Order: sequence, then structure tokens, then C-alpha cells
Amino acid sequence: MSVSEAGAARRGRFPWGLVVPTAGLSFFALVTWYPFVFMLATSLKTRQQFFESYWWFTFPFDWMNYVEVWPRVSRAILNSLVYSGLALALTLFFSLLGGYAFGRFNFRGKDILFLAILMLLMVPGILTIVPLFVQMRQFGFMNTWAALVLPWTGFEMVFGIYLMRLFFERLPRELFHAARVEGASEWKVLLFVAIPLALPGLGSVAILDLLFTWNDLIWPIVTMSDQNNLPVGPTALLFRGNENVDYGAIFAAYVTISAPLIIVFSLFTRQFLRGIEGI
Amino acid sequence: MSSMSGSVETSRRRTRERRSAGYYVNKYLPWILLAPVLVHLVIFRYIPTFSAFFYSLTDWDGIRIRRFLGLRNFEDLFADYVFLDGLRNMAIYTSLRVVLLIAFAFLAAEFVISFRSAAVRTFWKIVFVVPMVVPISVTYLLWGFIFAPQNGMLNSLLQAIGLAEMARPWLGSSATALYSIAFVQFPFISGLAFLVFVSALEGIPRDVMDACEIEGCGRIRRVFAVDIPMLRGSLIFIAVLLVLSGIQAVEPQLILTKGGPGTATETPGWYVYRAAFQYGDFGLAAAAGVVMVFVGLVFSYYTVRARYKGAYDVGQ
Repeated sequence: MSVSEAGAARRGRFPWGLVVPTAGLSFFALVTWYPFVFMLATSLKTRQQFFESYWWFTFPFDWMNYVEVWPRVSRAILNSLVYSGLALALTLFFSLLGGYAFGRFNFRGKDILFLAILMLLMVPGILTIVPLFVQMRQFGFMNTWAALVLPWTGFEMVFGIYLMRLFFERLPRELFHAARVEGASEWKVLLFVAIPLALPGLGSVAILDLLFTWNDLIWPIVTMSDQNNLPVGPTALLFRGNENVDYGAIFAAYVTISAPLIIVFSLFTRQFLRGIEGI
Repeated sequence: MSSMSGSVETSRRRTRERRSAGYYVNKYLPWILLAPVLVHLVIFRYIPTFSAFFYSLTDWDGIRIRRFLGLRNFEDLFADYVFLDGLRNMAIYTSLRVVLLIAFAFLAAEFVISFRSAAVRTFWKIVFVVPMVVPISVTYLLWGFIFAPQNGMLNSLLQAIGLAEMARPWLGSSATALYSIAFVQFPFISGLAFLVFVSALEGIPRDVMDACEIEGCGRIRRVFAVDIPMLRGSLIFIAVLLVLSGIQAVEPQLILTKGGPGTATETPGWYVYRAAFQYGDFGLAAAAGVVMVFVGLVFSYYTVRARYKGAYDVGQ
């Protein structure tokens, strides 16, 4: 209880200080969550059930929608796991190298170089989408993992390097000195001192990177003309209705597409929150 | 004598060489570490960036350049009412999004930190973070369903509560389309802004807040006198982030409106996409991209300045 709450309780007044936030947050939570609950409920309905009961779950559950969309959606999930996984590995590697170089050493031109890299944060994706598209075509990357993974890495590593630099600068310098005095080579210091210490920082970078690559929409649409190679985001767009649509199947596809990241998240909730707070 | 001094000389040179190899590795270590980073950034970031500026001055069709146009592409852009409507829509959409997202996220963050218990706070954080990991395309498709004229949730809700005459094709009428896409994700809480605000508010020493309340400023007064000035950094950070993402947003057009009806939801970002990938006019697309960069810089500059000015006033 904060001071005013204590005061209110002592004077026997109504505890507005707790009721208002609880009511407000509950309302926000309801509005935020209901569309997703609706999506889940509808994904378990037959056409008939959808029109009988619109707002809430109906029984028995109809699992056929999931069976129907699974072949196509599972392909997209697999694609996304490969693309996002590769991009994550590369982004972490580059962020670590860059962040360590800037965070631990002083060298000529350091400030200007760092500024030149940070400037890239101000270059929007929409500016480079056209030249990058043509470049991918020249490299022969169209319709392959490289067309997604390499540009994604180029985008995400900039903030990654920035975060990792801050992270390494906050570590006490004595740690590195001690290892050097003990006779470890610079490479050993990097491998056995820096990397283990950097794990929390890398966690933050990983979360941002995953959210970005998993959500990216326009770049995969532009570079992947073969629908079988699309990641989850654009694949969701293939399931949409006009007249007389089977809402159950559409929403089953959405639920399945959303599931993997939600599962990953629920396994690592604590790390996720800490990682975002580390930003 | 001479042979002896020779051997001493060689051995000394040898040690110096051995030493110098290690010395140079150490001296250039940062550059060795940075080399792959820089190569990657040059290929995938710097070259596309600079070529975008160059191509904006040409009639590039993605394969070859026939003519150098100077500023013709830019003249064409500012003579095209679709692009001009797009700029206006972008300004409205971005301002609405920045204000709404910050206001709601901040309000929710204030609600969360009014609980003392860490467990309660974590509970509310998780409640609003889970929807964050739903793919953005699914979220937009769901909102497309909310706004759908037939069987859509919003119209069904209006009918259910007896306001059927208010039901309308939200995305299909030019009066409501732009405001509808700005309203997507209401109440805008599950996002980075909320978490950043909560952790910034948690960073304010509790004593400062309590002192303010003991001094007799109410909770609302405290929010304006203590919390907002102390959150200056986070507010600027989030505002700039939201400005840039609002300017660049193409999901609403790509998924919901295709820029229509008419030019009601056109934006420069959508214009870039169509110029390049539907009409093959890569030079014009690059020019539109260049305009967006400048708009982004101007917007973020004023965002940063406005926040600092506001904070300074409070400080006085």
C-alpha cells in the first residue's frame, strides 16, 4: 500500500487507489484479449455453430478446421523456424563481435565508425526495399532463405551492436584485465570471459530480433514468389474470406500460426520480461 | 666477434618479430572483430541506402537506367494528388498513433505501478505481453474481421446493443477508413511502450513518490509533477520509435485497405510499394522513399525538441 492508501484505509475511506487501477487494467485486458479468445472460439466451430452462437464457445468442439489447415500452415511454421533461427544466430554473432569491439577497446576512428553504424537506425526499411530487392535478384537469392536472412541480419544487428556495446561497457574492466594477467590470449578472453557474461544482453537482442523477423511481412512478400517458401506472417494473409467463407478454418489457421511464438514465450516469460527491461 | 654480434642481432630480431606479430593482432583486434560486421553492413545496408538516393534521380526500372532525370521524379511526386493525399494521411495517422499509444500505455503503466506487490505487477505485465507475440499479420487480419461489414464484431456488437443504425462498413467508407486503421490494436497496451514505461516508473525511487504524496499533492498531481518529468528519456525514446514506425507502416494498407477507398488511406509507404512492385517504376519509388526519410528526420527532430521543451517547463 502506498502512503495515500494507508491513509485512506486508516480513515476508513473507499480504497480508490486500488480499485481504479484494477478496474482500468481489467477493462484494458478484456478489450485486448477478447478478439484472440473470439479467434480461438471460432476456430473450434462448424459453419452451423458460427451462425448459431457468435460471441462465445460452442460445444462440441470441431477440430476438423485444424486438420484442414495443418498441411499448409505447418510448412509455413517450418519455414519461419529456419529463417528466424538462421537470422537469430547471425544477428547474435555480429552483435557480439561489434558490441565487444566497441565496448571493450579504444581505437582510432571508433567514435566516427560507431556514429556511422548508428546512423543506419535512421534509414527506414522502405527506402532500401527497392535497391535491396534488385540486389537480391542480382545475387540470385530470390525465393531462398538468403534473401530474408541476410538483409534481416543487416537490419537487426545495428541495434544489437548498440545494446551489446552498452552492456560490455557496464561490465567491470577488471574482469578482462584479470584474465589477461593470468595469461589468457585475447581470443580466450572473448570466448571464456566475454561471451558467458554477455548472455543476458544477448537475450535482449534475441527477443527483439525474433519479434522483428517473425512479424516481418512486406519483405518476404516481395522476395518470395513461391507460396511454399513463405514464413508465417504472409502465409496468414492467404487465409482470408470474401463471401460465404469458412470462418472456422480461417481462424484455425490464425491460431496455429500464432501458437509457436506463444509457446516459446510461455516457456521463457521471465527471461522475456527481463530482456525487454534490459533495453 | 662479428659472427657473434650477428647471431645476437638475429635472435633479437626474431624476438621482436614474434612480439610484433602478437602486438599487431592486439592492436588491430577491434578491427579484426569488426571486419565481418562492416562487410555485411556495407553490402546489405550502406550500398542499398546510397543507391536509393542515386536511383531517385533516374528512370531506373530495376534492370537499367535509360535517362538521368535530375529532380523530375520529385516534381512528379509533388504533382501527384495520390502522393499528396498520402502525406496528409500519414501525418494524421502518425500523430493519432503516437498520442493514443503513449497515452494508453502510460495510463496502464501508472495503474500497474500503483500496486506494491511485485507478483501483482508481474501478473499484469504478462497479461499485456502475451498478445505482443501474436504475429502482426494475424492481429491486423483479426481487426479486419472486427471492422468487417458483414459478420464483423463491431457491427454485430452495435446491433446487439441496439445501435444498429451506427453500423457501417468501417474500412470501406472514406469518412471512417483512416480513423479505423489508426484504431487497430485498441487499447494499444500490449507493446514495447507499456513495458518500457513500467520499468522506467519502477526506476523512480519510491521515496520520491511518497514524499510528494505526503507533501499533499494528490496522485494525479504527482503523475504530472514527478513521473512525467522523470520519464522524459523513455518518453522521447518511445515517441521517436512510434513516429518512425507510424511513417513507415504499410501493414494497414497491405492487409486491410489497399490504400482505399479512393485515396482515403493512401500513404507514401504504400506508394513506394505500388510504384515499385506494381508499376515497375523503381526510380519513382526510390524518390518517394527519399521523401519519407526527410519527413522522418523532421518529425523526429520536432518530437525530441517538443519533449525537451515540455520537460523544461515542468522543471521551472
